[in-house]
Amino acid sequence: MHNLYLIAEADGTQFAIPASAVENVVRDMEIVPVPLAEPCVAGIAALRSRVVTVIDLMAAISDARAGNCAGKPVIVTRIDRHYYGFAVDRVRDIVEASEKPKRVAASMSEGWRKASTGFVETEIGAVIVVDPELLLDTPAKAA
Amino acid sequence: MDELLAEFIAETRETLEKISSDLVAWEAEPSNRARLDEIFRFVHTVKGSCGFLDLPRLEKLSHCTEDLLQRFRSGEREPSHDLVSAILAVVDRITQLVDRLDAGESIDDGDDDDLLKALSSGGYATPKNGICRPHQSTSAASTPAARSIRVPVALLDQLMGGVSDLVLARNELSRQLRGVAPSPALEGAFDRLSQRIAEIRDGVTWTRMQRIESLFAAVPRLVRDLSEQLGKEVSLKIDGEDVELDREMIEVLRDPLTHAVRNALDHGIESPEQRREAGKQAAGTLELSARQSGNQIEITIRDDGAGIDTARIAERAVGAGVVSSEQMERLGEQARLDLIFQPGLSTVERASEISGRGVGMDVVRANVERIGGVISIASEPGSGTTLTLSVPLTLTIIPALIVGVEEHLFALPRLAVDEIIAADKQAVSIEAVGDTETVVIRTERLPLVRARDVVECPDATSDMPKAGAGIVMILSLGRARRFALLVSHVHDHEELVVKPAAPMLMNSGVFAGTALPDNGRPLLLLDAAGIAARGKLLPLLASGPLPETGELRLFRLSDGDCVCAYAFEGQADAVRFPADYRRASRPGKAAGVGVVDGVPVELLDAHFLIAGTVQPLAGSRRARCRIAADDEGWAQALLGPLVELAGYDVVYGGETDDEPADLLLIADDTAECGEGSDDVLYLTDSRDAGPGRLYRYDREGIFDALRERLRGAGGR
Repeated sequence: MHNLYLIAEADGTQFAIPASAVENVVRDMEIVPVPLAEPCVAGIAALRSRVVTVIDLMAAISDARAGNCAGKPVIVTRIDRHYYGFAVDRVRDIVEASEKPKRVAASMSEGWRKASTGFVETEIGAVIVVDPELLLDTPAKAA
Repeated sequence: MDELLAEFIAETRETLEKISSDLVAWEAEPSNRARLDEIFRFVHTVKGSCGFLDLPRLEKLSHCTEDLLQRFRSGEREPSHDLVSAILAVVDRITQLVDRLDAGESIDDGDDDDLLKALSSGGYATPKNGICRPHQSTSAASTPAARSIRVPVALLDQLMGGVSDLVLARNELSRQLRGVAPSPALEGAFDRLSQRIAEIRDGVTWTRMQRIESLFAAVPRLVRDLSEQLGKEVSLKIDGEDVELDREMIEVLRDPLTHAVRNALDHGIESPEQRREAGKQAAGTLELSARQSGNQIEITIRDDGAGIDTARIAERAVGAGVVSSEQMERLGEQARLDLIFQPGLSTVERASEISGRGVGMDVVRANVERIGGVISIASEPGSGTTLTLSVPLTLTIIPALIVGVEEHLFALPRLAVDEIIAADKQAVSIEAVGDTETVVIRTERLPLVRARDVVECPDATSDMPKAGAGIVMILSLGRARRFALLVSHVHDHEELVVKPAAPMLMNSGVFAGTALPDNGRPLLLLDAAGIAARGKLLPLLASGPLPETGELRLFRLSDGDCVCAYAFEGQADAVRFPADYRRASRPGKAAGVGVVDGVPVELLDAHFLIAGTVQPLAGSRRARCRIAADDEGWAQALLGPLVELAGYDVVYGGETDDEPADLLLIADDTAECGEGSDDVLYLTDSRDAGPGRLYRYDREGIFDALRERLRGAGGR
């Protein structure tokens, strides 16, 4: 049983996204800002013939307004027939974890707790797992 | 084998529908030999396929039908109403069996003797039970003239996506080419490429098209069955079957069309006796026609029946609480007619078996509007009703204007735009009325919405644009609902592939989807109705009906927060009003009556007008109702709209501090059903309602209770 995770970094924090959820990682995406969207939405962008809604990942976790995401790598996922891109600071590597994410009773902040399914042990140490689908729920419920 | 079977099922369904409509047409005109031959061939094809796939029961049914048709052809038997009915019954039976095959069930050796007997009744010998193999000579004739293949729609969508990618790649190439030294050979090759891509794109678009015939094919049979059931005589005329429409649209239109035909036969066309009394031909006429105009398809359903009784609609609407009786008095004839599109209205006292299936014209309208269409109704008492559905040619590609609002670009469906005028033109003047604006164009005054305010551009400069800067676009939301939208500039006209956008973008209700124009920068598509709902339009009151066109004089009434306008006619004068006027006995639009120059004059109560009828423009909010239901689907689809109609904003789910609600509506049978109060209302599954408790399907009761509480809250 191999569990692959994509390791990314935003705001100095490393985290893992299940590789099965990731469709693509795009660099240099041209992000067009859009009005009247949820605060964490940085804009929309084209990926081939598709329109991707780009979300500032850290803003979604900390329930803040999206910052400038120009030039940041974007992790594209497909959720519920729509394409979402999560802008992060750096995309590192794909690593393997032997076990399923474990819930740890650590003092995580509210945002992380909502977006995460737990920690996994990998070759680079314990990393928090972010589930894109949970991440989308957070701002939608707060709205 | 499975594939073969699937193809057989699809083909047979199509063929059976065609047989039904052809049979009905032939029955009306038995001398039409060509049509009979065609029906015969169809049945023969079905029989052949059944034999091939080893489906003996189906084969026997189709064989006997073929046999009967053969006797019609040879003149051995005369067609009769009963015999045609018998054939139609066989068609139904075959359809049922095919449905079962499709569901993966096997066909048992059921009993079809009843039908077979009906086919051969009249002292006619039962056809041989032996199986006839199709004759070689006729199987050639059964090959359809046009060759076609079946393709799943998903494959076409994929192809369409690929073509869109191709267009974007071409655009990218075009940008790259601008950077290199010009070369005629290169440009020539590029132009050829562009042209071919455009052709392919058109071609793929057309593969999604289907003749509207396939939508109309079911109607003759429907009309025949219904008129028999209702004891009415109806002749059907169909026109424009060769108009082509996007496959998906055809599917969406199926139910609305069926409903409209049912309505026309049930409520429109009168019984033969009534028609003779009214001096009409005994047989009513139902006309169904389709025509293309530009990028729109117009489908009309016209009957020459009794027309719609607007007085009865008015009565029902007031009874159901959709409109107050004062409002009703002010409504014109057409507006009253349009009330039939309101939920919860049906003009017949008793829901009939035919059209009273709980589906009202409101659902028909919702279906049509969901695909960007417009529905309208016209009726003349005594001479008939016409229902017109205008729908876009396709859902996937729409002609759009690309407009700029500050530095943002948006697309606007071309269909919604009536006119575009530069705001600095002489003919245009923008005037402030209260804290809203109107624009006068030539002789027409329209409410003005600044796009900048609607989309709240996050980084918009706060400087007011120069007076007269920008472009005024006149948008229309169906008949007689027009408003003006001020944008910064209009860029381009483009055919756009529109796709639904993520909910995070759509929540505001201003956008209808996303699109990728040729430059590759994605856009949001503006929704005209959403803009109108968000823009601040000045509420207008009047004591009588307003003229449909022309200028209007208005008082602007304000209590400091809220503004509304009150229409008046004729000369206005400032006079002294006696302080000792007679006060009205209860609060109302008139505060009382005084005598001015010997004439009694009513004094309007401005505060009552503003408080009672007008929604506050800014600052304050509508009353909010929280719905806590165990069945969320039901709550959102059915209960929510009703609550909104009653005048509440709706939120769902449990209580939170962010959104305090004025009224809590609990429709959860697991919850403890307490006593209702002014701010809590229970909906239950049991019919015994009590104080603050209502039966959950009692729409009228719920509506009244909500209105009552809303009025109560307003008075506090």
